[in-house]
Amino acid sequence: MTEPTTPSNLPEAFADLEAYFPEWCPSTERARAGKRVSTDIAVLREFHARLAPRLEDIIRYLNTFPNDPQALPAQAQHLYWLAQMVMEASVPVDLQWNSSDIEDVFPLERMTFIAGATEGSAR
Amino acid sequence: MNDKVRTKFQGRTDNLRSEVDVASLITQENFELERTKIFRRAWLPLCHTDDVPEPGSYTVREVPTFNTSLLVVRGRDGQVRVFHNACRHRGNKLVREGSGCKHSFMCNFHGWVFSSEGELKVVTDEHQFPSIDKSALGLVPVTSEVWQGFVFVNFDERPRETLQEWLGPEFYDQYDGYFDLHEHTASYSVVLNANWHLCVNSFIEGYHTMYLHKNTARDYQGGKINPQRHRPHMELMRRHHRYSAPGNPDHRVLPVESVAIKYGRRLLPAFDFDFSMLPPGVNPSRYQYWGFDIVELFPNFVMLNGNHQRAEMTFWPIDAGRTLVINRNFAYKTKNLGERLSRDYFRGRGRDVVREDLNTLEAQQQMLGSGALPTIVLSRQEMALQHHFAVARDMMADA
Repeated sequence: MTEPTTPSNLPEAFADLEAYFPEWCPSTERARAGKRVSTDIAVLREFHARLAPRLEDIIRYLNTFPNDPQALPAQAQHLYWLAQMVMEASVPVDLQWNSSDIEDVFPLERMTFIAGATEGSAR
Repeated sequence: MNDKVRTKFQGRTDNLRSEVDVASLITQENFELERTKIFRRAWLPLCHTDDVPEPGSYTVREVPTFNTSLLVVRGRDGQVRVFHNACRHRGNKLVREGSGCKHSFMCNFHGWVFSSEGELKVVTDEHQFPSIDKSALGLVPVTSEVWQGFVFVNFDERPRETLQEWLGPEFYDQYDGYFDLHEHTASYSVVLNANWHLCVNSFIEGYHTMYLHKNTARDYQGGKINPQRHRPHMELMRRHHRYSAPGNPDHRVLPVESVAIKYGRRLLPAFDFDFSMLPPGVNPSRYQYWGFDIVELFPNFVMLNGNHQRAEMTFWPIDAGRTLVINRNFAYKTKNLGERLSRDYFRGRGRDVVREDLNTLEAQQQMLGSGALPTIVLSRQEMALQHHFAVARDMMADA
């Protein structure tokens, strides 16, 4: 009898973090920045509390791959996006803010994150 | 008075004014004059040669100041050229947007074809143009010149100065190798409802950092040795200026920041660096607690030059009350994914700082535009702003 396989979107060593996929693994900087400012600070703190202690393990694991994020196998790529989200989400937590964005600040929605290395196209 | 670091000013200061009537500068009427007497007579940084890396590479750049779109192309001969992005038939944009690589460009309107050197190669149904001379209908060129990988353009009919004269000896051969140290990481753009002068002003002084950035960059500059964060060095040149920002040796590293430093490099500020490896134009005074340099290439380009990172801001005036702001970020070339994540952390921190800088501009525009304030008042630490306005006055006074 075959058992249903549990989804494993992250590498086995980080299977305990499976629940964070896909919500906490946006693939673009624009999406990560947007998720940070639109998430309640309490939720960010919880996320940070869980992930920050694993950050060095994650980095050491990712450092075993070639230095090309586009060429990562799927599970490692999801882990990379999760690590990028940790970096983004840690800002208000590291700085001990009471909210996930600065109170009176230029709105993120008005910033265009330019795709790729050039200004020829915008996303 | 705690003035432990006294700013060393270099350059001419007798032509500076600490009070400036900004309201009269930010009218549409004045902007129309500035467009002719400043923007049309300046060498303006447009992009990088890295944006067109191979023969056939092209990229499009919108220049709202002159209501045009430019096509930057590296020809098969390796040379980088800049053209107005318009088919010579009826003015359709040759390339709608974006970047890529091709050896010829076909207009999607009637199929005319131009080479990557800008020559008109094919006129479809050519015999229906009885006296057409293809050799006279190449893409309209824009004068351009390259310096240290930057592609500068000049919209003057006949540029009054070479790029070398425009930049001056304090820049021209003072940056060899520096701009190759870093690679592009991310760019952002914003259309702000604020005059270009105000936009430039926001990025050429550090006086605001202790107040505006108290929540985002609390203690990166100054510190016990320099509590008022005085610039250790500032140079005012004929058109441009440059100053060094003081790093705080007692900066308290935050938890995730310490992980980012462990697996990457310290991006703000810089004490782990042997300045003797930098060309003379970077940290020119060899200040021991150097953070980074701010450079304004007049009129509308500001650079932040650091050890392991740098940034550029271009301010293209759309009209007297609106500016397209483009922020490009660069950092050291990584050797592994951990270094990329480290760079991401500092760039995320920097993005918040830039958003704070952008946030006062529309308020300034409204209040200064109302005419309620006869002048603005500038301190010695804001001498770069005084200099910016003095250079503008000079160029506006030219016939």
